[in-house]
Amino acid sequence: MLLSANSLSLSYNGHFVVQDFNLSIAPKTIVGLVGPNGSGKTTILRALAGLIEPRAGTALVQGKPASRLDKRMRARMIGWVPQQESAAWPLTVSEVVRLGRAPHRGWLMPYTAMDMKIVEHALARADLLSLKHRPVNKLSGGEFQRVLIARVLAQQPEALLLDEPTASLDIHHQVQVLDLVRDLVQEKGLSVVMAIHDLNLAVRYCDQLVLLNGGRQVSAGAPEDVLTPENLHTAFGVDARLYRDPWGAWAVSVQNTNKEKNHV
Amino acid sequence: MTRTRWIFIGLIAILIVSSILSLGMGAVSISPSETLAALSGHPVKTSHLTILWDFRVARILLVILCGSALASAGAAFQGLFRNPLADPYIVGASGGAALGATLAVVIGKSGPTLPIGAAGFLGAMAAVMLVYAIAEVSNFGSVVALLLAGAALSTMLSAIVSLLLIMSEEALHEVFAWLMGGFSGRSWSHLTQSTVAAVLGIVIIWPMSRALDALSAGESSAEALGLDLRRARLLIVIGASLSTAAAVSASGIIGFVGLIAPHLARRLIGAGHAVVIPASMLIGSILLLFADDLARTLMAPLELPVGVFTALLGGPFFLFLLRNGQKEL
Repeated sequence: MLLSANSLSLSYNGHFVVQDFNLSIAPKTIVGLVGPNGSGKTTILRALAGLIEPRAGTALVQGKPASRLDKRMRARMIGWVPQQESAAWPLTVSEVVRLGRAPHRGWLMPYTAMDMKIVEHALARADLLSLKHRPVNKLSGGEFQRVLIARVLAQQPEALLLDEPTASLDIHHQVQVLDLVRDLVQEKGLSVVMAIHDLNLAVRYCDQLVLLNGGRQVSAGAPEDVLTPENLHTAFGVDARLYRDPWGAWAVSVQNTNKEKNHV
Repeated sequence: MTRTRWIFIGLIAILIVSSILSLGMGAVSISPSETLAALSGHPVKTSHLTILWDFRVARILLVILCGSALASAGAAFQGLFRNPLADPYIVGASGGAALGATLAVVIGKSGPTLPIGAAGFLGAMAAVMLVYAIAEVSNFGSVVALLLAGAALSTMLSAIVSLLLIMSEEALHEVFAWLMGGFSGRSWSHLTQSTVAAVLGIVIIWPMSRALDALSAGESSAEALGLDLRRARLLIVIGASLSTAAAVSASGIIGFVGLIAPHLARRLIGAGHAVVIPASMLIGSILLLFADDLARTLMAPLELPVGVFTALLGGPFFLFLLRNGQKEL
């Protein structure tokens, strides 16, 4: 098991943000963290990435505490993509993507021809070849998101931690990025944990879901078992249910409460 | 890549030409051809040879050294703080240097004599280490803490300097002249003193280029890319402080060079620190040479403090940056 969390509790400024969270991720699996704002999704990802120290319990990478691992070794195993990232300086797209090779090449040695080939490949897969000399501060939100995806591809980790990877993308690029993630999972046997707002995308792409509410696990398992009307009501306070869309895939529909009120 | 190469060739050419012109300037003016002849060992007037070798060559080299040191420290601090308004003095280096120098002068009046430059160096390093220690134990635990601690300590140190100066009036002039920054009367001994620290600082800073690039994305992202934040921060602060202290001990406090040079470098050559740092050093040297030329010649034979000119040129530039916001930087 590459990644696991055992009774993980996380706090921020002395307040518990996540309590007693358990997870173990098999290879070739996409696990989606779903839940309302402030339910602890981002914090869990940061703990799995080793960026924060657990208050109690453990976040393990190959059986060792994530926050205690050698940072470069950890970065070769785990790629973390934040929901938002700012660029202090106008580095070019390819300069930023090249940093994905730093865990392999170190901070001093020049990049090799092999690194450049990997970077080029990552740029191509994220549909960024035409933008590679563009300064990153001149990109749209969606383009920048794809730069972050390309950087983590160049990093070639065994597990991906994605924080709302589709939040700033249009529907075309949402599907493109998530298709890419799914392809990588199939090709390289990656494990993926992603926080994802959009329940329709979550049921469509994730093998398993963990529903969170107020930092606690409400339910975990196959998407259709997790997103029951009761669970959705508990977590989000809406009346919603899964149905088969015209292509036979699961989709989520929310009852329009306003309309209901108007009619009554 | 070729564009980058041409920019470096151009900057080096400008630096060489302005060095030769600067060597000829001063109370006794020497033509560029005579300067070149003297430098290449051809016979020239003995008095000119003495002026060049005993005074001006060392001075010009020291100007270049200080310009490079301040510019590299500026690029490093801007990268570390992710802030285009950071400068080499931001973590308290200038406040510490001023206090060190003032103490040396005040103590020198009644006790053992201490060289002002060395005292400034020690003061700068002590202040930076104190700021760093405070930032490390603070709750922020980040560059914000460094910035705040630097600002707080600088204000305190300058208050102590004012107090010392008020209490011992006769020391005022000497300290004041030193604080304004300048290369008047500097020679080979100053150069040899400062070279080691400046070169050491630059040798620490430049290899941090990739780490500084990663920090552009923020501390969490840099850490997720495998950067050991504490270690990187410590190395950058040590390297940049050594460079700053080397410049301060040789020439007093010269503002704005370390602020402006990295900006010009980024405009010219892009944002990757591996090229920004050496380009900043070249630009910093050229700017400081110009400022020193003005300081020496404008009211000759009187020499003005070079810090006055860098501030006169740098102040408006700084305001221009503020007015245009950060989006264009």
